[in-house]
Amino acid sequence: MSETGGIVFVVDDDEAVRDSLSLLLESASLQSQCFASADEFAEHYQGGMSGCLLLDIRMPGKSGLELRDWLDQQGAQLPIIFITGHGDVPMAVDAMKRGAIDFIQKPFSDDELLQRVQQALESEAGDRADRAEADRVRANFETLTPREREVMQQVVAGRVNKVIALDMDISQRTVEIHRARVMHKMGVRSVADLVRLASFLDK
Amino acid sequence: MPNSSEHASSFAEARFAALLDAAVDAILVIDSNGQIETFNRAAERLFGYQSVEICGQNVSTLMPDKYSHAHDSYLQRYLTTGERRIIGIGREVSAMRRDGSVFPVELSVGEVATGEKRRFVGIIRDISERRASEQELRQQQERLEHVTRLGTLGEMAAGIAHEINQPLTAIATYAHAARRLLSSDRMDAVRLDDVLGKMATQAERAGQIIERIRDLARRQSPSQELCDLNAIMDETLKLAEVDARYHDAPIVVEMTPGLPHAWLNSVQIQQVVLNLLRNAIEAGGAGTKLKLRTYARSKEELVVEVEDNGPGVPESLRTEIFNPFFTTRTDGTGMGLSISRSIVASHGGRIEVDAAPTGGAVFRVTLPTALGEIDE
Amino acid sequence: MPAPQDENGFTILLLGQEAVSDPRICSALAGLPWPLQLVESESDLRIALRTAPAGCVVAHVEDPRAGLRLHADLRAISGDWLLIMLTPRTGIQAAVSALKFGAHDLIEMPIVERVLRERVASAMRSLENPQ
Ligand SMILES: Nc1ncnc2c1ncn2[C@@H]1O[C@H](COP(=O)(O)OP(=O)(O)O)[C@@H](O)[C@H]1O
Ligand SMILES: [Mg+2]
Repeated sequence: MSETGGIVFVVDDDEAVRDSLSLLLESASLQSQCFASADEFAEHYQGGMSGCLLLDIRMPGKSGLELRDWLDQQGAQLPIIFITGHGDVPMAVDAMKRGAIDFIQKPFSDDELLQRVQQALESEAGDRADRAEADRVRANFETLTPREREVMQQVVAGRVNKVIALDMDISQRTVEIHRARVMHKMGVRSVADLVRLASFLDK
Repeated sequence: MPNSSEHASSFAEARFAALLDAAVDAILVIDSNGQIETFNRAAERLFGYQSVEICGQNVSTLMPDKYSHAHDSYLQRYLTTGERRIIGIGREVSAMRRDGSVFPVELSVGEVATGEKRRFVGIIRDISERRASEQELRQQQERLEHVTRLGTLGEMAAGIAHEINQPLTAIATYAHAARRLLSSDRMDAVRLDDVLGKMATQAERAGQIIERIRDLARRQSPSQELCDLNAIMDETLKLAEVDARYHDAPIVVEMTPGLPHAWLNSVQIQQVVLNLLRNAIEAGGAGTKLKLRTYARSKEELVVEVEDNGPGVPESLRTEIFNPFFTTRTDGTGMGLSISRSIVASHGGRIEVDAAPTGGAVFRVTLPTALGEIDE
Repeated sequence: MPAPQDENGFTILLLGQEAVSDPRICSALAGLPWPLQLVESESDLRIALRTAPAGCVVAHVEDPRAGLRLHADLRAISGDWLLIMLTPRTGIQAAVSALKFGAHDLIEMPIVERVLRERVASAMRSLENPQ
């Protein structure tokens, strides 16, 4: 199993279910933290947490679906797997439409649960890496001068130096200098890499 | 003895005999030794004996064996001590026909003293039909109770299923986890022992829920025992809370400790309270706040109250809702409150509904305590 | 039947023999402010999709997993179609995978007319006002 560093947050009002889930997660070398209610998790929640949520739907106090909506308002990016002991199709459909990545019924098979948790952690780790890279790219882009930004756009659009020089009415040598600075500031070596980074700027 | 008086007395007796023969009820007269002197027409029809063949025989001939031995001594005791065992009205006893068949009768006995002679007049009414219909009624009521009991359980089924699913999930998950840890050598005997213990606890938890449902679903003879009302409420709560939790309807419990004991059929009382809680959840929907309260109103009366903050019962319906088949629910049977009322009545109590301070309903069950029996 | 179109070009396609011959489904959808086109079979669907540029396909599927192939077909033809499955009693897992793999919505049969109308309308509105 791959290491994502994410934590599985287990929110379920049943102590035995929580305890057994954390043992199962441990058996797959996954870290977990347990919470007895949606409110308890909400109190603990901090932006930038990484991992995924295993969330019971029906609990006393705030329900799992309500916690999901609350997390949405906080801009949380944690993927949610709902677990329920008494779901029906409309409830499952509702949860999925509201953005859950999965919906599992109790009792569940261990393989199924672990596989889905693993998927959730990986996709979250992937999203998180993407977001981090996008942030870095944007920060680097901020350091470019207006001229350099213009050159970068032209390079990304696939133009060669000569065309860019003509278009911007500057010398080819100047284009080369700008271009080298752009590559340096953006931390890339090839045009292909620059193109890839530029795609983060659109997001 | 003067002739005229003898004549007068035989005349009176003839008139008395004619009166007896016209009577609908079986009437017989016995002397102080228990010998039958008079046996009217209705008695002939009822017992299958001719007056001539039974007169002169001991009255115990008309009783099944287990009573007949005792009868002579009852008579003797009455004559010597005046202690009444049979004199009085409306005792239900068993009688035996000529063909040996035993049937229930209501026996009223009066004493007639003419001069030195003491005689007893017995009026006997056949109540086998009344008995039969009573028994049928009781059986029918038991069947209905059984049905509503199962009905209430059915209504609670989703909650119960959920409650049993939790420990099952935990057991399965513990087992899977333990096997994984074992296979990768990360589980020692101490830890395994701990996990197995937890699994056993969860299995017992599931078993307890099932046992409670079984208790309630099982048909039990409606016998009353000297009970602590609060103990019955504790048992009831274990079941009710499953349902209440599922419907997010918390039950606040206010039980007064040390209540006097009462003669109660615990399953029936449990059934009544479950019914009331269920109705409250149905009326108020998810999120309803419930209160279960017990207290003693006096030395003689115990009270159980089920209160909710739902829509309440309009004043105009407060008697009607207890009628059989009265329901405002599309899927209701209207039997719950009617059965509850008859159960409470069979305990010598009563049930009524009022408005709660919150505007919801409060159902109040009043039951007699066993004070009298304990004092004796 | 020629494909009716409103000025936005958003259409509701009702797909499947069972669905188009169910008067309750048809009347529920006919009451909505978008053109409704009835399509009996999947081969007719291809033709219908060419004439109407976007909208919802409301499809009767026996098994939501079979509906996923339909979803893949829709994606291949045009990305602008939302798939709403109508399906007789199905399991939770089947419903969840249908939604996970791209169906927009799933409604159990027998349908409640009001529910069907609301869910299709909200899908159509999400097409009209993409966020
Ligand atoms: N707690 C309550 N609050 C409001 N109405 C109630 C409550 N309990 C019972 N009722 C009314 O009494 C009716 C009869 O109840 P019941 O005899 O248990 O039959 P059922 O529950 O099948 O309708 C209910 O349909 C409801 O209208
Ligand atoms: Mg009821």
